[in-house]
Amino acid sequence: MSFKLNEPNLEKSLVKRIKITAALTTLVLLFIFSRLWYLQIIKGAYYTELSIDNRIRITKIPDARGRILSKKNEVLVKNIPSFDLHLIPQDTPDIKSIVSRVAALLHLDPKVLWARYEKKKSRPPFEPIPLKKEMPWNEMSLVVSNKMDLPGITVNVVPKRFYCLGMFAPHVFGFLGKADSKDLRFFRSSKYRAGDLVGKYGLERWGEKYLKGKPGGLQTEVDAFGNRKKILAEIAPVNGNDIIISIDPVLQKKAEDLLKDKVGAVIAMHPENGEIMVLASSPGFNSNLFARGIEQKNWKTLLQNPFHPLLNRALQSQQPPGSVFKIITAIAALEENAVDPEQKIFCSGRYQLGKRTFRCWKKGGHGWVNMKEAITQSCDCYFYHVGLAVGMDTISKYAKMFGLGAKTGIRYEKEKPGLVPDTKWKQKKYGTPWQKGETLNAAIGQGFLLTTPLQMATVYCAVANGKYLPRPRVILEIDKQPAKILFQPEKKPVPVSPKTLAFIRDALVAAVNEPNGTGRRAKLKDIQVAGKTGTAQVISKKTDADEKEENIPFRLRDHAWFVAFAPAEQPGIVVCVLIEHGGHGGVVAAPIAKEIIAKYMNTR
Amino acid sequence: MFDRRLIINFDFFLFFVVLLISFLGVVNLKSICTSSGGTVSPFFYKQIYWVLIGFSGLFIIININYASLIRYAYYFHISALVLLLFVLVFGKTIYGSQRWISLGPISLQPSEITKITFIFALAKFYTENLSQKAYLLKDLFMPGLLLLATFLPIYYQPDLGTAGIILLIFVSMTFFVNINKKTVFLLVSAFTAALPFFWFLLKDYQKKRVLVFMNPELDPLNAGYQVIQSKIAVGSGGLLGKGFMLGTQSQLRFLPEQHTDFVFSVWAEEWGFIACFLLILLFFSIIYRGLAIAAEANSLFGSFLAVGFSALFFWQISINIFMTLGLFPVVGVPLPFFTYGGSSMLCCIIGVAFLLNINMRKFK
Repeated sequence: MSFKLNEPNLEKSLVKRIKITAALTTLVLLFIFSRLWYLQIIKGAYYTELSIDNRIRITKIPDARGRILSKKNEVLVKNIPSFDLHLIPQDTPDIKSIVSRVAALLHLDPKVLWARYEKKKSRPPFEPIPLKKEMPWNEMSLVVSNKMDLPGITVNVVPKRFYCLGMFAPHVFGFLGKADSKDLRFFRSSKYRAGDLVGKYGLERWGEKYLKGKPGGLQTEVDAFGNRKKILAEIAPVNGNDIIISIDPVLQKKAEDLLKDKVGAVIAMHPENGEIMVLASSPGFNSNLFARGIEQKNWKTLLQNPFHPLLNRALQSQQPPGSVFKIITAIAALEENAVDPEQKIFCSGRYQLGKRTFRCWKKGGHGWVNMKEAITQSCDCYFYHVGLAVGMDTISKYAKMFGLGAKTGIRYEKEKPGLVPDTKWKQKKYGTPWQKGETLNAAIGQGFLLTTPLQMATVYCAVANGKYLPRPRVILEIDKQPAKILFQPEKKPVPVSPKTLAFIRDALVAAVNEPNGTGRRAKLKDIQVAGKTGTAQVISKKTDADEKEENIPFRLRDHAWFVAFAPAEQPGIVVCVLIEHGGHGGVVAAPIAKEIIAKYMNTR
Repeated sequence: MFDRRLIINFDFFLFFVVLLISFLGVVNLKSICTSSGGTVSPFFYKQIYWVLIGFSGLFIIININYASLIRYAYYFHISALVLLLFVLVFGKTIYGSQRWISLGPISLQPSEITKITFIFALAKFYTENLSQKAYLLKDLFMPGLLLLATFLPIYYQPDLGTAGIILLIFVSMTFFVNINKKTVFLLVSAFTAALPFFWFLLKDYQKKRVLVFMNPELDPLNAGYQVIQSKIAVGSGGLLGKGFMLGTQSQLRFLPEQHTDFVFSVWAEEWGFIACFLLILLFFSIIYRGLAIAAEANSLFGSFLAVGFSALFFWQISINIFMTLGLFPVVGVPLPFFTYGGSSMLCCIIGVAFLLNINMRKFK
């Protein structure tokens, strides 16, 4: 039903309401007029004054990024002032001549400076345009003393990241870089603008949300010459939170010195609480190169290095573990009662399986050896025998029980899970059944098996403490207000009998301390060291011929492993050394572990 | 047959007022779009195209009898709502909210079109459901539903400004319906009681804007700074202004969002109090003419439509100017015919076209 307006009542009420509306509208109109009158006529002179050279300025106050400290409160990463030369176009009467004057003063190419100005000149007003970053002291003082002749030029203090020990633990600290759109999405925060420095790698990236503070700012009124007259408002910057880490600077330095000119990694950790004392990977880089954005040529050099300095080998290098794995095979055999450890097996240097011949590393063979002797001398034939007796799936079960094939849970960085094969895995991956020969390879830590140094270190932690796998920890504490964030030790029990682990510890002590032990080069005078060597083949060697190490191309040389703990009776440190393409574990890796253990004992 | 009365009743005053305002808007945009080097940004030319397109549309619209559109009013609005939902799902994000549909080079803002279809739908409902008896609460159920269905998708874009305008248009048009006094009292008290609850519906940045409006010192580096700069711009314009393209606040880019939210500040700075006075008079004469057209329309539908469009202009003009004068939080409501943007320009000219249309057919 629709109505026409010719109904007098309705029309009257409508017109009445329209009149009310028009009156209300007029009130609003008058209100706007009076406000305009107030702003433009009454306060007009005041606002004109403010608008001349716009007297209200916003200045950013940079925040300080959180520091990184050791457990003993030594500052490892901090911020230092760096001096940047800025130009504020609105305060500069004749930009061209000022730029050339600055160039003459600092002996720079005026064209370069001018180009830097041109690139940034469309910024919002009074935002300083950087002409030169990180001026040395002498240049800075030169500019400051000539300030009177350089209107519009300012020297600003900008905090710069400083890694106090120089080229030190780069794979722990990581580095900073200019934020790209991916980073901005990743950190999902409005605190950043494109071009800000953010953590790109390592702890700097993991800890970004804690380390990053919040810049403050000043709203000030300035006079006609740009000098600050009055602070109208101030927002104080909020500094980032410090991170306390477990790295022991003395041991880390030692490890890095020992790794110099080698390709590899060293991990040292506490066998009970999982604190990582050393996390070294070689080759490394200097995090300071990245402190204010890395230069293109330095970045290129890093990327072109064939040994990939940016790779964190301690966590990301997956290699066959070689003989350091044999203790897993031994534990599997003992726990499943597959062999009697006292029963001796004869090693002739060769082991026949069907038509295939498997070799022991010692050409002449070890003769009659029991399990302890086999671990001590790292006899391959003995473990071929044990491997067959136990079977692949059982070896695999125990390897996984010790955390192999899975990430260890170190927080700050991506890690590789390694690989623990079993019969099902092979069927699925290759579509072919498991071969017995592959069990022999796995029993001595070869074949498909892959582990990282960090994984092997945690395996030996469990052997050392006799009960559990500790979760590796680098970050101990974040100094956040009001309450600190603490990262407590975490443990994963390993259901292996204490008797078995005691036997293994005993054998590992023998491997270092017996004259014929493969780890004898790690022996220390006063402290009992326990450890196991490993020499992992990169490719299987087809010939018996003894090739001299120097004659083999670098890429094909064996990986040297050594994992040790000390003191054997009350272990306080587990050290895992991997030297890629280094040769024999006992020769190359064991002495490195020895020196780190010695240093550890000295500094206790 | 062509009816001569259509021409006699053509509101030349309203038409030329709008033409003049559009011209001034383009002039103002020229100042904003010209950089110190003399190059003019494409915004300016795009805006001229939109004005031309808008006025061509105006001549088409006045030739259609608005009364015949009552049949399609709901379908128009449902289509607009579908577009809105489409934007929510596939829209292009600008300044953190999804308001745009991209059609090749043209970005369309369906929330602007929705304002018009919403006025049509509500006018149809009130026209067809008006009785001599006063409205009770249950009679307002359907219009309330219509409001929510329109308000929520816009609110979630999020476009608080337009959502607020929709709400205000609803309230304004409903003011012209005879509602039971008790019901009015009930609604007003319920709304007041629910106000704190609305606070929790606001997004963080929206809350911040309201807080900063009440106390600019809370955010002196961002939103507070914008309002201060806008006030400096307006105030420093003084009686006669600094002259075309000579406003230091705008030319040096102290003013934020010059071509959208703060266009009026640029005008005020460069032309001064007298020109502001005249411009606002022009703006408000659209509203007064709209109300007069509502009073004279020959059908209820025409009256409700005219009231709706008058409300649209009133709220957009007032809120935008209040915002630039530091009297209202910065919520992003465009100033009709001045703010850069094709969708807003089209929406406003279409609104005027319907006012002219209703007036042309006021003969009984």
